[in-house]
Amino acid sequence: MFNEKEVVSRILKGDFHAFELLVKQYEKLVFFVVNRLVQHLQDKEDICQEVFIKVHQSLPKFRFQSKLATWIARIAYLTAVDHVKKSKAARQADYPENIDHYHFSEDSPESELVKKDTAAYVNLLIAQMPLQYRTVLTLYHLNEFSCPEIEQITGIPEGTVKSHLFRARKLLKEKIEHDLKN
Amino acid sequence: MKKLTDEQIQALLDSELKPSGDMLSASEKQQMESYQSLFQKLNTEPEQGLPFNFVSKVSRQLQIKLKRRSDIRFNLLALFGIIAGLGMAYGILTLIDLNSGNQFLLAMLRYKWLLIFGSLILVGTLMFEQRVVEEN
Repeated sequence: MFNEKEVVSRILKGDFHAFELLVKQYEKLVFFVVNRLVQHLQDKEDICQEVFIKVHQSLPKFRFQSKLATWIARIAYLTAVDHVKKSKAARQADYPENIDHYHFSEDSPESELVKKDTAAYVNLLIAQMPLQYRTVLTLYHLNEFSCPEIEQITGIPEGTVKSHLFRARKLLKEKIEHDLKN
Repeated sequence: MKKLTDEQIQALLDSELKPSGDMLSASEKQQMESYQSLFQKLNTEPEQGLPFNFVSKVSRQLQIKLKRRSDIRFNLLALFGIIAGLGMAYGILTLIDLNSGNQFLLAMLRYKWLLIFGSLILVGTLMFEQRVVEEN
């Protein structure tokens, strides 16, 4: 079983094998966060590497005031968001002026192609959503964090997390229902 | 009976509760099924993931970074060691023989630009290398 206190203390003593254990334990968590926020495949891997290097550098400051997973997810989230902001490809859709009035735009030829595969279609729709919706959906459903933990990770107030989660799922459900009828 | 709202259906599914079919109207049942199917898709892990050798890649990159940092520390220590050594040599020579000390100081002053440029090139190279490593 993964004992985070023991692994952290071994890493702080310079044990590389313990660091590899930590990467193995949390690589999925980091990838899920980065995957939904960053568009390019090669960037995703580079950012995941950067996250773990940052984790290693900042580990002496970690005081176990939160779960290690929450702390690592916060580093992953901040690194990915920083990349998105710096990226020339940052899209207007990532930061709409009024997120509460967000609606899906017209269907693209790409979406027409993947509609038959519902799982792929859901992922395509999520990729079109604003960054905050993508973040809460991923952290809640894939990483299985609770709303208070998502607040710790993203800094978004818990009430707003709940409202984003509700609205994002409602939008997705309505869009899929509408598209299945047509 | 009051109809279940979207918020209530989502809350039920979040708490992994599913009311029996008899308690729900046809439209509620359909809404429940739509949300259930969506939740399943949202909980599905992406097919694409990190490469199988990701752990060793990160470990290798970290080792390179740590080695670079230790090299920089060593080179800076060496630089300070040389400066301190020259200072000590001057101090000792002055204590033994003031004239020799002065001659040593004059020699150092004659080559002051060489010493200053040498130090600047060493520090500049270290900073440049560190930046290149960080960018890569």
